[in-house]
Amino acid sequence: MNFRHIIQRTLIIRISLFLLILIWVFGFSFPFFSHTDQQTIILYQLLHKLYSGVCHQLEYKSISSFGYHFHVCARCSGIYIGAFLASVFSLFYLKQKHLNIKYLYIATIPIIADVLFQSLNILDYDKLSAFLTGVIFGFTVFVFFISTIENYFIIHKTNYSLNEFK
Amino acid sequence: MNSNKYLPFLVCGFGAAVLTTVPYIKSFTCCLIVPAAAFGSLFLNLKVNNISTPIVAKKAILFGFLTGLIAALFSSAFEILITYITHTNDFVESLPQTESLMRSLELGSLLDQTMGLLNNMSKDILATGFSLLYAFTITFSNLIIDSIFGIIGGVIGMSVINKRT
Repeated sequence: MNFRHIIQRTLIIRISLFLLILIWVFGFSFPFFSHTDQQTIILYQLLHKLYSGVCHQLEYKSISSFGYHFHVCARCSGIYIGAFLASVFSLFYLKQKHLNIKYLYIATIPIIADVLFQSLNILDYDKLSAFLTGVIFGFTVFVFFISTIENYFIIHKTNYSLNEFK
Repeated sequence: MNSNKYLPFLVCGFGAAVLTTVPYIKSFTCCLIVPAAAFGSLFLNLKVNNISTPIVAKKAILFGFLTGLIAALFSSAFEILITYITHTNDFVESLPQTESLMRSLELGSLLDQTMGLLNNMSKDILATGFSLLYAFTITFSNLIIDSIFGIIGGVIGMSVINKRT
């Protein structure tokens, strides 16, 4: 197993995840990319039903564009966009990163605090804070996810890491 | 046959399905219910079967997938059951609004075909409480989405549990 094979495997995993998240993000933010008209309204309704399984879709908690709301709330949008941003960075930053578990806990604190403060009526619901705490959480979770996947499919199976070639 | 092997993902999948049907809880936990259930199922597996060795990725993915699958099946079953009892659901209630929105766009024959299909589903639900097409649609979408989210939860859960143990 040489450097070329390792980098190929790494890229295949990262590009696949990037494409999957891209499709997912495009799906829920469809109104932002396409002005909803005669042709797209049916697709809009179908996507709305599809995403209802993963989010409450309350309109006052969702980001809107061209008069149509995203199919998921601001917090979920943040989580997915955070994961998407991390997947974009992972395509350019090939080093295998192993974050300490404490970073995952730290990234979870803002989102939990935001949910708790709003649930206890200490703070009013704010789309921006929900979105930003979601981005932080989604970004960190993706880094952990990809690190675990690569750990299994590359390091565990080949006994090599990209970092060894640097 | 060791029933403890299947217990963690059955219990956690069922729990996740119950939580997805509670509107208040769903509005706060959103997409985190199924990944959290997958994490819970891995943790429960360690406790129930007294396992002290690190979890391997293959097992974490399998547990996450199975938890998602169970959650999807039960949540679809609950939704179908609630629809059957009440003879209504979100889809039926929002259909007039959807129709007026679509009619305002003057879609022509495409609208008639689509609305015909949706109205048939709505009529079936209002009359008998059950529509085969509706049941198939929600089960299919739940199976795909919950399985993916379950796998994600399983992988993250493995990472967290292995670091802790």
